[in-house]
Amino acid sequence: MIEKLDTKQFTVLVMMNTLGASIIFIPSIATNFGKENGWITLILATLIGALILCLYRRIIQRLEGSNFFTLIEKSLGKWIGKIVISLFCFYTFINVSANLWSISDFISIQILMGTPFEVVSFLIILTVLVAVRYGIEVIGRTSELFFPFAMICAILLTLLVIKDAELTNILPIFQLNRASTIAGIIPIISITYLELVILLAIAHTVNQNIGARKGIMIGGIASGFILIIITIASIAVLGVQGTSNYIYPIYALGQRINIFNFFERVEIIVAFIWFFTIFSKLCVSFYVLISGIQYLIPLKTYKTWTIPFTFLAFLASIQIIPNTIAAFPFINGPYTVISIIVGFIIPLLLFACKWKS
Amino acid sequence: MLQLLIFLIISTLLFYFEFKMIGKAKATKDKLIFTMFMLIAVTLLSLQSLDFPFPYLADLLELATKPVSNPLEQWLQGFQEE
Repeated sequence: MIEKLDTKQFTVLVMMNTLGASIIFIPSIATNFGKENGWITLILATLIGALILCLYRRIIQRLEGSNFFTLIEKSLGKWIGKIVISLFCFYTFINVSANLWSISDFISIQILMGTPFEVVSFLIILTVLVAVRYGIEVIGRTSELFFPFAMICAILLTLLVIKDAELTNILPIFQLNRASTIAGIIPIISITYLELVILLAIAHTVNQNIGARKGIMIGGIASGFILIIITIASIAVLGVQGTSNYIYPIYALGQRINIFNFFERVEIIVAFIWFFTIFSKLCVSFYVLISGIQYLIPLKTYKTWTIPFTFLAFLASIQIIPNTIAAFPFINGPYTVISIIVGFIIPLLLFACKWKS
Repeated sequence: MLQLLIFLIISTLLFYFEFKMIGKAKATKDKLIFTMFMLIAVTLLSLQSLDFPFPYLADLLELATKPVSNPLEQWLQGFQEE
């Protein structure tokens, strides 16, 4: 059965993938660099992200119905192509493990305190396994269903903390820390827009090529806008010190919600945003990983690969980093490097290579 | 130990049902590859639960990308400390 996504579903998947892990980490990372200009770092990152999206858009245009892995192999030759696809699969595997680690770490530290990390991680990856076995069409429809809830929670979060916002926290605008405001773009891009390279592997499943091209641009820019708003809210409410000290600043933002002393402690709405977005991201990344492996070693059905890789991803989520503190040097160092290689250099290479028909 | 036992039961069940499904499709290559990868995954996970000292993936990645990632990390660190 040929699985198809429509433009709306693909746009939603782009947004869910961009917001996935980043919605909870970005305010802290941006503020660590840009301090009161953290939101400007986000604006600049969105602008550069739009350029990266233009590159992805051109690659989608080149797909013309064939899949991304075929494009790699046809453009770079059989053997180099296989090496590049393996590198792409490795990056996707790291992405799945890192996202699985981040949601499991968050749940076991903030929500289900006392429940072992391994139990949370295993339950999540088992759910992802079920979704991936149903196929990308079901993942697309599920994301479409979850999307309004995630957006309503994000809007509610921003609106309900507005009364605590102090605009002096985001002042002076771009007068201090200019260099660090700009340097902060690198890690932010690497965990938002460069990760969208993974979605190129499902772009051929979109009904119309033009829909996929539109979807990646609209989804990417819209999610950049949401990240800017949430970062402004975090800095304005929690202050620079508060935002950069919290590992999950938007969760702390949720804890501040208090309306007439009866509507309070509703930080779980933040968790809802994250559950929906990261589940969708995990499903897509895992599906792409399995598709890549299936392309390299073809079997009768891709489903055969799903169970062993579920276990391997679970193991990798336990063994990816020792603790939450180690996540930030990992993002600033090795993860940024591999993101730039897979998310920028490889697409640029594909863009530069002529399609050998 | 209990965790390992539960995990082994779950993996055996999953293996059994998937193997049965592949058997229906009469795909010998699929059966072989599935069994091989399942063995690798279950062995690695069992060793991990028995506290075998596996390296962290982040450390391995850092080792592989050291010439670029170390200067980049230090450069970015400098901006964070400002």
